[in-house]
Amino acid sequence: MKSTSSPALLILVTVTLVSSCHNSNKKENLSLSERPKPIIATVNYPLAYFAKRLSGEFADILFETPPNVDPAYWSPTDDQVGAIQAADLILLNGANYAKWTSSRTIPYEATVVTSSSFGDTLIELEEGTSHTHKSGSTSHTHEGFASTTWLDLELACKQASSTADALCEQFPEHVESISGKLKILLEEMRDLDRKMKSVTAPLRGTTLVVSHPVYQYWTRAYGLSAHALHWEPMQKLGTLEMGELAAIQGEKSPVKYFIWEGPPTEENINKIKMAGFINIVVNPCGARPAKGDFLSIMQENIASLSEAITQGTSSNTGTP
Amino acid sequence: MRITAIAYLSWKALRHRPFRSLLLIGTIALTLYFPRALQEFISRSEEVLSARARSTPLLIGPRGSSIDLTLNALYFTPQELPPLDYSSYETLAQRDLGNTIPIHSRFRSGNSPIVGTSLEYFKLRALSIHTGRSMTRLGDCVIGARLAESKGLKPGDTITSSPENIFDLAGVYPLRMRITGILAPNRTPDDHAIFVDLKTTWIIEGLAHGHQKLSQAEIMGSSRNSAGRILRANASVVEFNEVTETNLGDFHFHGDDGNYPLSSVILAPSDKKHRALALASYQDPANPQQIVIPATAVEHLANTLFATQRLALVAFSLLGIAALALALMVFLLSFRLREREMRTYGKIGATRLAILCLQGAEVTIIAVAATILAQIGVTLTRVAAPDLLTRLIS
Repeated sequence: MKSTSSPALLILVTVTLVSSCHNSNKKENLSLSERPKPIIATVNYPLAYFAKRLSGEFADILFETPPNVDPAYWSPTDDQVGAIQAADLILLNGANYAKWTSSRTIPYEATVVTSSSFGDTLIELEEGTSHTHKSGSTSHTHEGFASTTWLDLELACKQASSTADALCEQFPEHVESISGKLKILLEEMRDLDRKMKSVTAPLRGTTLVVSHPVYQYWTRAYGLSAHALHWEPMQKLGTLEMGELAAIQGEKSPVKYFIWEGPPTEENINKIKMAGFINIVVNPCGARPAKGDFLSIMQENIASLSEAITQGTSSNTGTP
Repeated sequence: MRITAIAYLSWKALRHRPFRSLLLIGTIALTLYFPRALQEFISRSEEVLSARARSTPLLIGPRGSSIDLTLNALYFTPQELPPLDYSSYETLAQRDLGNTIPIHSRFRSGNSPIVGTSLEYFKLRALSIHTGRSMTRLGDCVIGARLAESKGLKPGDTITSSPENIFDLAGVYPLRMRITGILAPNRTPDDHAIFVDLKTTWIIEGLAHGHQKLSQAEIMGSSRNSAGRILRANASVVEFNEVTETNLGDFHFHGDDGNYPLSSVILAPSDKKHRALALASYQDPANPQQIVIPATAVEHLANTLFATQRLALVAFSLLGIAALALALMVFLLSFRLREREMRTYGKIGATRLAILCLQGAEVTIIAVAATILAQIGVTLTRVAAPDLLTRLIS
């Protein structure tokens, strides 16, 4: 009995071992092919666009802000924070953009601030009331920096480069492809920057009125001057608002152009026209656009500015 | 006389005087237990200390005792050294030498340390969430398994930080923290700790806070300075002692975050080259920071423990000899008292050898019982050593 069972046992063990090795190889191959893509989380659409352009197909982009919410003021739920924590790379804009990042827990090691290369040139906001809490303690304000950095397309190029650096460090196997894609992206953005400089040149020396204080980097980059209001394109403009506008017109001249963040209502367009302004939409594109992408929106902004300036020039020269 | 008969008679004799027998077993067991348990405890402690130290590649902290720094970072002992500033951490992180994990373990809730850190800490220590989920915002915490068990805490409950000084009425408010998860037990100091985001420890420290908006009617009467830009808030401004979804946006940080304090930074270099670079960059004695290899610091500590152990062993050996001599005397006196009983055994036919065997069997039963008891004690000590060590250190 003993002599017959030993070879049988040996065969059984050998077969089991061989089959388990075969299965484990199969599992390894499966896991390699089915390994989920790395995730890159971003706090705004421009960074999501840069990350997508640079990573191509090798990574998934996590940018969950609902379309009708400004990512700068978005507040993620605990589950959304959990998803962001699990990302392989988290791209922040810096300049206090997306305030939720300072009150939520995100992994420091996976986080990259894309504006750190130009941190010393950030525009400090002068708004807000300074206050102290105890006698003798330091006074402070609750405001920080202007944060729509990417509207200066030169800064946007720097942010794209920082994104590329972060991707190369995190995914060294894709360095060549990222570098190639960065070169193309930078060329396209520099071309837009040149166009923006050229189209905004006639606006220098003109005071612009902007519906929201989000154009600080744009005005600085292209040598413009703007008076910022806190209006929404969809809000109803009453006597108070129109009085505010009239006061600006009285204070500063020549004022011709009113810049909106998004398409205003027909009623608002007419009211602004009646007040003697030309409506322009310069979309900051912080949130994912319903149509097009970052570059096409910037292209539309340039077209919108060009059209308005032509209209302004012709009205100056008396052309209807 | 048969051996079973000898065993039976010895057993009956021992049971006849249970107090004496138990006293002898206890005395001999303790005499055997103490030196062996001390050896086991120190050897196990050294293993546990070394394992935790080895899983902490390098430690950066303020210059001072390397053992204090190591114990604070590894066992969350009270912070003896001055704090490290956050800018040092940022500078180190920017050098890309490897993973950098900040540790701020100055505060406590009762006896449990509150450890401000980043999510990478959990990866470094291979800590997993057993119940609930990770922390997601300011004021959230994840607690160790033993702490949850001892206090009956679960996700959704709250735990409050203890003020450093109860007489400091103007000090920072205790912060009520939301427990979001319980860690799986791993038999390390992490089982007794409360883990929070580094920024939460700064709220406890008073560097960040939340309060009602200063434009509200309650404080409209507050004074402004001559320039009119600085509003001095009065005592009616309510400061929040708990972070909630509603007031989360009202929490803000004051001053330059580069000056915010940390206890230490764990550095896990990406390779040998980066490790060498990190070690080299802290060699300047003028540098206010030091780099410590926790394994080396623990080795020094273990050497001190071994020296103490040797002294204790000598003391235990002398005490043991005295105790065994006393036990021997108790046996001899007991046999003398039972001389008539032995003579009776002789009269009913027991040989001298059988009587010697009878006495020997009693001694053997006592000795074996004491050895078994001592061994059980030593085994329990070995099992309990990690927890005991954590409690003793922290």
